[in-house]
Amino acid sequence: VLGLLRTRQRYAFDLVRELSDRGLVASEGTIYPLLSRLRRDDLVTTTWQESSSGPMRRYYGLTEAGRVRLDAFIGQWCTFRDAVDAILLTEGTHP
Amino acid sequence: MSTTVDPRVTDYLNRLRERASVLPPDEFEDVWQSVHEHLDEAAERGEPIEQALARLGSPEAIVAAAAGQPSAQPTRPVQPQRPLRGVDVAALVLLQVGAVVFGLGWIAGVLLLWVSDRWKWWEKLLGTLVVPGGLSGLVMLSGLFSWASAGCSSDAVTVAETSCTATGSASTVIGPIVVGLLAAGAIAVTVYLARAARPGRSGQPASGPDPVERGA
Repeated sequence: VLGLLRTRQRYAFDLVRELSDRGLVASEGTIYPLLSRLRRDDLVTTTWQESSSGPMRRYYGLTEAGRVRLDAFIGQWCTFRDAVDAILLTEGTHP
Repeated sequence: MSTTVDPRVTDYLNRLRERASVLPPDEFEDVWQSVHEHLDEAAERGEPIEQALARLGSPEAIVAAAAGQPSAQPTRPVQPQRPLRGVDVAALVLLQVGAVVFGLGWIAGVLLLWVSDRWKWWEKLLGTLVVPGGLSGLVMLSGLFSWASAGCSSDAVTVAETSCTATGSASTVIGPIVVGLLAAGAIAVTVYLARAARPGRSGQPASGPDPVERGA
């Protein structure tokens, strides 16, 4: 979720749809409790913006704390991914 | 908000409201409002209602996802459990006093300790090694010490007075200290194991936490 908000704010519906379309969640509704928690933990903010048609839309964006958390995660994730890649590639060449 | 609301949407939102009432009020409001907006947006985009509802998942799944997350403001602190069953208590008791039955009770205690799912492997190792035979083993050991030193001092009078007085006094001083330290270690390990016991897979459903705490 934080990764999708890295470069820009996103409309809640589009954010949820993108996570769902990428196969990261089984049911879209379960993302809303997560977003709610991220907001209470001050990692994301919500802003209301007018839409061209219909009601106001809720947009999510990263806070400074959210950005710090994301950067930390990116570091850990790269270490983890490299380690798994190394294991799989080594094991793959020695069946 | 769309003016014509499909009864299936109303029904879904009512069910969500009902299920989500266990959540903290602000979280409940946040989640319910978000899902409401989500369905409005789906309707606005002309998406079939069944499809939008299917993609959202059941209200129960949403509430479970909310309840499963550690909340920034927990409604009540999660208390660590004391999930010792009778068989676990028996293991700890046998470890300490079982040795009186020709050492067999202690072995039974070790077996019970290792088959239990309440402790990690190193905790089991600690329980086994500190100390073999347990407290009753130590009592027998200290009995052996006093017997040995008593035998020595009676010898000391008649046979080798100087040399044996030295060893005798050493064993009467060091012996009890060592036994005392080992006993303190054994008691400390027992207390630790009793406190460190965590709910195992078998103990979870019977006296498990309520759904709000589960997974938190």
